[in-house]
Amino acid sequence: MRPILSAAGLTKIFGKGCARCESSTGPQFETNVCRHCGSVVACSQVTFNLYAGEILGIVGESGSGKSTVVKLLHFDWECTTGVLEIHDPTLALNRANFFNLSPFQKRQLRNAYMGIVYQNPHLGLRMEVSSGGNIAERLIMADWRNLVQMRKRASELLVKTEIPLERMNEPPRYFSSGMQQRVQIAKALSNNPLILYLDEVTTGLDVSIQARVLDLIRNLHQEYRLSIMVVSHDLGVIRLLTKRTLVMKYGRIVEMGLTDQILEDPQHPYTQVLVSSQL
Amino acid sequence: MNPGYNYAFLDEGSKKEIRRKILKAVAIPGYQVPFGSPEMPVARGWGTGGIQLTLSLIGPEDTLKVIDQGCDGSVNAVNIKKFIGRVTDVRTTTDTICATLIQTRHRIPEEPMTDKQILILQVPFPEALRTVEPSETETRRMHGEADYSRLWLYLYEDIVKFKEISIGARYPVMVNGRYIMDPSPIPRWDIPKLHQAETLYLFGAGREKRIYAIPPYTEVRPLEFEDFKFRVEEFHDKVCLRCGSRNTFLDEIISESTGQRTYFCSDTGHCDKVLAAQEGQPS
Amino acid sequence: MLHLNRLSKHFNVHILDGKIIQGCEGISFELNPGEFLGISGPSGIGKSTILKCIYRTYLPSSGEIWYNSLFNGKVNLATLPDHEVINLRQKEIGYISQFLKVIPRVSALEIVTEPLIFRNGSSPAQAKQRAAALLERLNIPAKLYDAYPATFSGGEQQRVNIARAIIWKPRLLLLDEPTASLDKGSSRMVVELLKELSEQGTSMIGVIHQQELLEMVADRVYTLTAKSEHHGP
Repeated sequence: MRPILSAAGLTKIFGKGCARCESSTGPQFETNVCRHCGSVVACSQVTFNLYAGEILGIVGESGSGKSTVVKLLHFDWECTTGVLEIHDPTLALNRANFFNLSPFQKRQLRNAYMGIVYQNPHLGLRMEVSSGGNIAERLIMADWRNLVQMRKRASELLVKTEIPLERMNEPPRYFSSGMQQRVQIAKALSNNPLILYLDEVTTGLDVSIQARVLDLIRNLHQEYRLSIMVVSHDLGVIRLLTKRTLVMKYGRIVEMGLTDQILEDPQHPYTQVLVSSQL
Repeated sequence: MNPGYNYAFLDEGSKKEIRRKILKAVAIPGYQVPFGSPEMPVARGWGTGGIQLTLSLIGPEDTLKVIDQGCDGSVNAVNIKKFIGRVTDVRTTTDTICATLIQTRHRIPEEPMTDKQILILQVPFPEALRTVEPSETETRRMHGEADYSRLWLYLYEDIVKFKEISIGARYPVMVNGRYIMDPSPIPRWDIPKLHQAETLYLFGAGREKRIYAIPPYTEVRPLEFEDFKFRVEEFHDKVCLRCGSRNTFLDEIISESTGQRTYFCSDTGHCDKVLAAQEGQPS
Repeated sequence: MLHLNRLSKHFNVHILDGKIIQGCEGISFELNPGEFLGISGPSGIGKSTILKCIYRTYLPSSGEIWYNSLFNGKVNLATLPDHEVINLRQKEIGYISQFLKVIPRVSALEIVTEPLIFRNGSSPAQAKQRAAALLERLNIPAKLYDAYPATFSGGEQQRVNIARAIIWKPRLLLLDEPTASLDKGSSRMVVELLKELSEQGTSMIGVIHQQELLEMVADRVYTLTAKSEHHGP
C-alpha cells in the first residue's frame, strides 16, 4: 500500500535559528526554545507517511508542534527544511519535493487537493460572506462559473453537514460554533480533496456538539474515503476517529503506532504519562 | 502659445517616460503600469492622468476633443481644453469624427471611433480589486497569479443579496483573457464598445500613478456567470427631449421645483449632430 | 493459519520508575484453518495478553506470530508495519472484546450494519436485513435497533458487540471473554452462533472461562499454567 503523502525531516524554526537549535531543544531538554539564539523550534525532523483512505492522528499538548505540522503540510507556513511528496495518479505535478513548488503552484495544489478545518472558524471562513458563498469561493477557484450548479453543490454539502438550507444565504457570523465548524467542513470538502486536515476541530465545542461533529467526520470519511489527518490534544477524539497516531512532544515525534496500541500499550514514557492522565 | 513652457507643457523626459509606459501597457492589455505622474497645474483628482497621456501624445497635426460625462461644454472639459490649447495651440473640435485625440471623463462617445483615433480616459481608481482587497501588495499578487476568485465571490454575494449585480459604473472586465481591469466609471452602456474595437483605448490615473491600455481588436468581456449575464442600462420608452434619440445613453434631469424628470443625450456632440440633421443643416 | 513461536510480552512502566510487569512468556502454539482454539488458565496469567498481541493492540516484546494472510502470504504480525496491520484488521482479522466500545450517536443497528457495508460491500438494504436478523437471534428487541447503545444494559451492549464482530465473517476471530457479562441463555445462543461461524470457515482463538461453554465450542484448548506448557487433546 503506497502512502498518499510522505513527509520527511519536517522542521520549522521561528527566529533566526542557529546550528545548535535542534540539538538543544526537544523532549529531553523539556523545551522548544534554543538557549543559544532564542529561536523557537516548533517542530524538528518530523517524518511519517499518510496512507490512502486512512485517518491518522497527531496528539500532543500545547507546544508539541502538532498544529505546526499540519500548517506546513497545508502550505500555510513555509518550512525551514523538509521534504514533502504527494503521490496520486491524478496529480499532474510530479516533483521530488513539493515544498519547492512556487507559491502559485502551492496555492493551486492546495485548492485542488487539500481541505482544512481550523479550530478557530475565523481562520477558515469569511465571516461576512454567506455560508453558501464560502463554499462557492472554492468552486470559483476551481473555475466554476454557473450559479445554479454552484448553489446546487453548496446545497448538497450543507445538507451533508446537517446545516439547514434556509441558512445558505446567511453569513456564518451568526451561526453557533458547532455550525460554523460544519460550514468549514462543507467548504473543505467542496472540491473533493484528496487530503483533509482537521486541526483541533472540536476543541472548545460543547460535548453534544462535539459528538455530532465527530460523527459527521466519521460518516464523511466512510462515504468519500478521504485521507484525513486529525490533530487533537484530546485522546477521546483520537480514539474515536483514528486508527494510527503520532505522539508529539516539544516538536518531536516520540511515538508512532496503532491508536489502540498507543492507548493500551504505550511504549514511550511521555505517552504513558499522557494516557494515564486522561480523565 | 505661451513661450515659457515646453511644447505641451511636459518636458521631453516626462513625455518619453509616459510614451514608454504606454507601449508597455499596450503590450500587456489590461495590466496597470506604474508611472511617475509628477505634479501638474491641475490638482490631483481632476484629470491629471488623462492630461498627461494627452500631452505626451499630442502634436501640431492633432485635433483635440475633450468631454466630461459626454459633454463638451462642461466646466472641467472646457478648462482642460483651454489649458492644452495654451501649451500646444492645437485645433479643437466637438465633433467625435473629426478628432484625432479624445480625452474623456466617465463616458465613451456614442459614435464608433476608428484606428486613426485614440480615446484617453481619465481614471480615478485603477484597481478593480480594491472593493475586495485593501492591500496594494495583495492586489498585485492577485493580478500576478490571476487569483481573481474573491472578485467573483463579490459578484456572487451581490446576486444572492440583491438578485442583481449592484455595480453600475466601473464594471470589472476581463481583458485578453488574462487581466481583470477597471474600465473607469463609464456606465455599463459603454462597456461593449471596448470589445474588439478599431481604436486604441488608453487609461490614465494621475493620482494613483497608473497607465493601462486596451489595444485595438482585444477581447474585453465583462465578468458574468454562465447563467447570469451582463446587461446594459435600459431606458425603456425614454427619449432625448432635445434630439429625440432612442438609442443613446441618457442623462436624467430632475427639476428641483417641479420634481419632473426629463432626459437628454449624455453625448452632447452627438446630440448636436442628430438635431442638426433633423433641422436640415450640415453638421 | 496462525503459528505462535515463543511469544513473550512484558510491560515497561516508566511512570512507576521503570517497573517491569510480565504479561506472558514463551507462548507457542498453532491454529489450523477452521479450528476453534480455546485458551484457558488461571486469572491474570496472560490469556488476554496473548490475544492482544496477536491483534497488535500490544507490541510483542519477543517471539513471532506467523499468520497466513490472504493477500500477503505468510506475515509476522509482531513486526508487520502499522498500516498493514490496519489492512488485515479491516479485511481478515476480527476481535471481540469483553465490553462494547461505545461510539456516540451511532445506533445499535448501524453498529452492526457498518462492517457489512464497508468490509463486505453489501447494499444498505441487505445489510439492514441481515443485521436485524442477527440482532433478533441475540434477543435484542426491535425497538432498540435505532437506539444508542450507551443506554443499554451491559448484556445488551455485549450482544451488540458480538453481532458487530461476527456478522462480516472474518477469517480469523479473536475472542476475549465474549460471554462474561451474559446470562446462561444468551451465552448458549452466542456459542451456537460461533459454532456456525466456525463451520463457515472462520478460524477462532477464544478465551472463555465458563468451562462448559468452552467445551461446547472449542476443538482444542491451550492451557496456560505458571510454566505455560501446552496442554491439550
